[in-house]
Formats: sequence, C-alpha cells, structure tokens
Amino acid sequence: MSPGLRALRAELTSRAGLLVGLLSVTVALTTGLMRMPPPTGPSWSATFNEALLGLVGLAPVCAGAVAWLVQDYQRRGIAALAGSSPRGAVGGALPRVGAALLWALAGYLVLLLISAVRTTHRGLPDWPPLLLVLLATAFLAVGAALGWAVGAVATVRAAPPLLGVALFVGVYAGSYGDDWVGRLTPVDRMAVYRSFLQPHVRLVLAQVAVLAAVAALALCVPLAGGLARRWTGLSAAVVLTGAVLVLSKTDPDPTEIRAAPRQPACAGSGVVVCLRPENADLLAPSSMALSAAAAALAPYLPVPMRFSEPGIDRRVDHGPGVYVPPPEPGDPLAFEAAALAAILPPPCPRRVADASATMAYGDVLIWADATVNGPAGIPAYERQRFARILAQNVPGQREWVQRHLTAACS
Amino acid sequence: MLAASHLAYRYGPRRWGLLDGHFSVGGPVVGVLGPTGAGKSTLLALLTAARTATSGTLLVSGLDPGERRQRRQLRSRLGFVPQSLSIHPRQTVGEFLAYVGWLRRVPAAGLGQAIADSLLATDLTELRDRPVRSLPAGTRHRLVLAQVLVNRPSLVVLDEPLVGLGPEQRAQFLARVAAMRDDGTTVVLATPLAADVAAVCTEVVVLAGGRTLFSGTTAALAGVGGPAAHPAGPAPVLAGYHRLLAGAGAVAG
Repeated sequence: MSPGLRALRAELTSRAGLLVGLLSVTVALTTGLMRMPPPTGPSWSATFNEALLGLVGLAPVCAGAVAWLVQDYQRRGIAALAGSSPRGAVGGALPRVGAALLWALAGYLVLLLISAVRTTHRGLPDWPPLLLVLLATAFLAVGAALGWAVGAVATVRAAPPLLGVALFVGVYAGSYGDDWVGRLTPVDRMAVYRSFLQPHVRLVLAQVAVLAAVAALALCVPLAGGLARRWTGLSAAVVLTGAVLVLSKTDPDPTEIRAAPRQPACAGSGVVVCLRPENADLLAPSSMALSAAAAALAPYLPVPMRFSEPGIDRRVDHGPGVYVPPPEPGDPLAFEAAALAAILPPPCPRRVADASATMAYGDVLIWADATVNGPAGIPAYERQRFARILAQNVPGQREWVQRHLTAACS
Repeated sequence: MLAASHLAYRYGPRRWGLLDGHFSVGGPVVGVLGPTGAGKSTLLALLTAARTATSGTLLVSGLDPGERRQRRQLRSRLGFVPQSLSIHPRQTVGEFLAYVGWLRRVPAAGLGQAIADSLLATDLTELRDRPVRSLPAGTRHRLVLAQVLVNRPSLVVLDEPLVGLGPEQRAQFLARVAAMRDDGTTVVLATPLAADVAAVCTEVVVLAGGRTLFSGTTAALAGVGGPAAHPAGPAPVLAGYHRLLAGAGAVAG
C-alpha cells in the first residue's frame, strides 16, 4: 500500500475518523428509515431523488466534521509542518478531508441502499437518474470544501457546528424554494412526487457545475500561493457565471424533463394505450380498463381513441387522453379510476374553489363509474337521484353530462 | 547560506510581519534571535517556503523559495520543527513518522529504512509501535526531532524547539542539534534566548519588531557596543544582544 493510502487509512480508522463515520452512517440511517417508502413512478429517478433528500442532513455533518478536523490540523501545528513540505499545507490535510468525505459518501451509499431496497422497481436504472449520484457527490464535496475553508480561517471551536447548522437551514429552506432558489438547491422535495420525472440533464449538469465552482471558490481560502489561488478563483467564477446563466434559462415543465421514448409499449386496436417501455407490465390491465370505459362512455361524450402517459404524445401532464397508470398491476379498481381520469379529466386547469363546482365534477365521476361498472359504486344516499339520471335516454344523459361539466368550471 | 535583501512580508494591509530584512549569514548553525513578536516565525515561514515574501529577495542554500521549481527543491531538502507541534496522542510513533515521510515525499521503497534510521538516531527504536500519549514529555521532544530526520534533510529549521524544556532536556536537545551539525546538516535555530545561540550557533540574525538589528557571527554579537567583560560563556552574547535591543529601543523611542 502506498504511503498516501496508508495515511488515508490511518485517518479513516483514527478515533476522529471513526466518530465522523459513525455520525454519517447514523444520520443516513435515521433520515433514510424515517421517510416513507418513495412513491415511485415509472423510473428509478424517484429512488435517487429520495436518497438525495437525505443529504440535507448528511452534507452539514460532512461540512462540520471537515471544519473540525482542519481546525485540529491547524491547532496541532501539523499544518505548519506540512506547509514546509513538498505537499504543502493543503496536500497535508488531504488524508483528513478525504477520510471525512469518504465517510459521508458511505452515508450516501446507505441512503441509496435503503431507497433501492424499498422501491418497487426492478431491473437496472438507465443513465439519466445516475446523474443524481454525480449531483450528490458534488454536493458532499461542497460541504467538505466549505468545512475546509471555515476550518482554515476560524479558530473558535463553535465554528464547525455553526457551519453545519447554517448549511442545514440553507439547504432545507432551499429545497422548498421555487424558481431560482429551488433550481440552485441540489435537493428538490417535489421531485419524488412527480412519478414521470427524471432528472433534466442540462439542469442537473448546471447544478453540478455550480456546486463544483462553489467548492473551488471555497478551496481558494486554504490554498497557498497567489497564482494557484488566483487561477482557481478565476476559473471557478467563470464556471459559476456560465452555470448560473444556464440555470436561469432552464425551467423545464415536468413533462419536458424526460424525453419521449423512441418505442413506447403500446397495446389495443380500437382503443390504443401507449406507456413507457419499463411499464409494459401495466399495459394489459390499462388496456382492459380503458377499453371498457371508452366503450361505455362513447355514446355520451367525446372519448379519445388513443391514450398515453404524460410526455409520450403530448407535453402536458393532464387532459383527455393523458393516462397516468397506477404503479402496481394488482388493483383493478385503481386502473378503473385511472381510466376515468384519462377520459374525464377535470375540465378546468385548476380546481375551482367552489363547493358547487366540485360537487358537479364529483357527480360526473359517479355517473361515469356507474355507467361503466354498474350502480354498485353509487353511495347509498345518492342511489335514487342517480337511478333517475341513468334511466334517461342517451341524449338526456349527454345533456346532463355537458351541463355538469360546464358547472364544474363555473 | 541565508541571504536576504529588502525582504518583507505583510499579513494584511497594515500588519507587517517582516520589514526590509537585510542579512547574509552562513555556517553550520545559524541562530535567529529576537523577543516575542520580533518576526522570527515569519522569517522561518519564508525560509521554509511555507509563505512567499511580499517583496525583496531571499536565497536559502542558493535556492529562491519564491520560484516554483526551486521552492519544490528546497522543500524536499528541508526538515522543520514548527513552534508548537502537538502530535495526535492516539497516533503511534511509527504512524506519525510514516505520515511525515509521505509529506516529505520519501519514496515508498525507502520509507521503512528512513523511519528506522531516524528512530535510531533519536533512541526511539523500541517505541515505534507505542502511541504518542504513552510517551513522557522528553521522549515526545525526541520524536519531534526524529520527524525532522525522516527525509535525511540537508537543512533543518527549528522554530523555538526548546520552549518548555527543562535544563537536562535542553542540554540533550542541543547535543542532538550539535550532532546534526557534525553530520554536515545545516541548522537554523529560532530562539528568544541568547544562551541557546551562544551554545550552538556560529552565526546569528537578530530581529526586533520585524526589523533586522544585526547579522554576523556570534562572536561579533558578543562584541556589540564594546568588548565583553567575560569573553567566555553565554554572558557576552547575552550582553551584546541586550545592548542591541536597548539601542533599537532608543532609536525607536
């Protein structure tokens, strides 16, 4: 083993190193197990996003630990000793900082494993979700770089925990941020709820560039030598400016984030349903539910003959013909509900905050369910009223449906 | 061996660590003498290439620490004891020396032998696997000296290494410095005590308030302000040093 690796191993297994490792793994286990299993959609991205969310706790631990270790390095005079050596003060601190970063990455691995074990996905992830691993690594590297900078200049012992708290608060608040703040924060809480969401390549790469530039700027603090510092700072500033410009022009609609598959999985002859290839196992129950619903409702309202997941045919996430399948193939009722939502989506882009409008749309859904599956699903207290509606002839029911859909938007 | 002209180092816009340093000294053991805050550690940081001078020129063993390639050369020839080196108590003697060997870029193939040699030179061979916390204070000081020898340096820089040592440990430490000198190693010793300079140094640079007050032989320092009353021992050096500081104080005042 080379002396450098031996130095790294010594730091990893030193008392301080093991303490940092224990803290990192504990934070990872706690945040990983405390969260609900990810409501995964049709890709691995939700799993990777779930693991990324855990870094809200892990990155501050990494930053604080590195600041503490670097303070110790300075205080003990090791930095002065290393400063006179060919490796320099920065090189001499690398085993310590590297050990803390490796422990933080081990914590991230724990987060990934927890999310991967709990996901319902099978098979290997495609490459865009793997960008989130790069993002996570860059995020932890920023934590380490900030810790290094603070440890190099701040001598007060409260500085490392204060840095950790500040980073936690900043990232936690930023993860709820919209627009600018949200895009600058590498953690997006909403991402896990977008079942069709995959990382947007340009967006994630710009975020990685921002993080790399911030890390480089932070490293300018401990970096000795005017020229090296100047060049690092200048390059980082250029990268940061470019990445921020890219971020300012990158605000993808959720359905634009993931490219349409070249060959979607499709089924059906009359009513055609197309899903993303990894959802091929959901095709049969989807086709069955959509065919039944389309056939039953066709006399009363215009019914699309082609249904597809968001982003396959159209760049919208709702509307007639946009079909969001349930995640699991086992529940027929869930497929029936998804089919009705694809044929009879809410007629307004936003739900009207009016009880009568909400009730009108609810009535249409109850009527549609009864028309497709029979009157068993009608609530007992509404049976008489809907029996009268269902007893009307086709033109009468068509007129009733139109009237209620209009009322749902009023 | 050490030559400076208009040498200056500034910590901040208004804080100078060293001002307009001029000296040219050589010899096997050079002392850097001055009271606290004189600029000794700043000068040593420049000598060891840990910092780069704000202005002026400096040559250490013919190498310019401000020039990148020469700085690398200088660092690989150096051994250094910083002012307050506190080795991690849980680290073993061997682990610490291996780390220093890595810092000094000692080739992996020869590192084991280099560590063994430096342990032998400081009588620490038996303690190689002992954690530092189990070593008595005097032995820790030997370890501090052992780390200097790991890369077999031609120039050793010691920043106030005798602070906190008892008379016996002090004598032992100075004896080891003398042994290094006898082995052909050049030593630069920073100290606030003229007695240390009188004990081992052949030439000396005296600093106060960041300025160079004197540079030359130790004998010449003893003769500053008049002939010494007692030419033998440390007393004349101390007297010359005090006269020098008093003169500087009078000028400053």
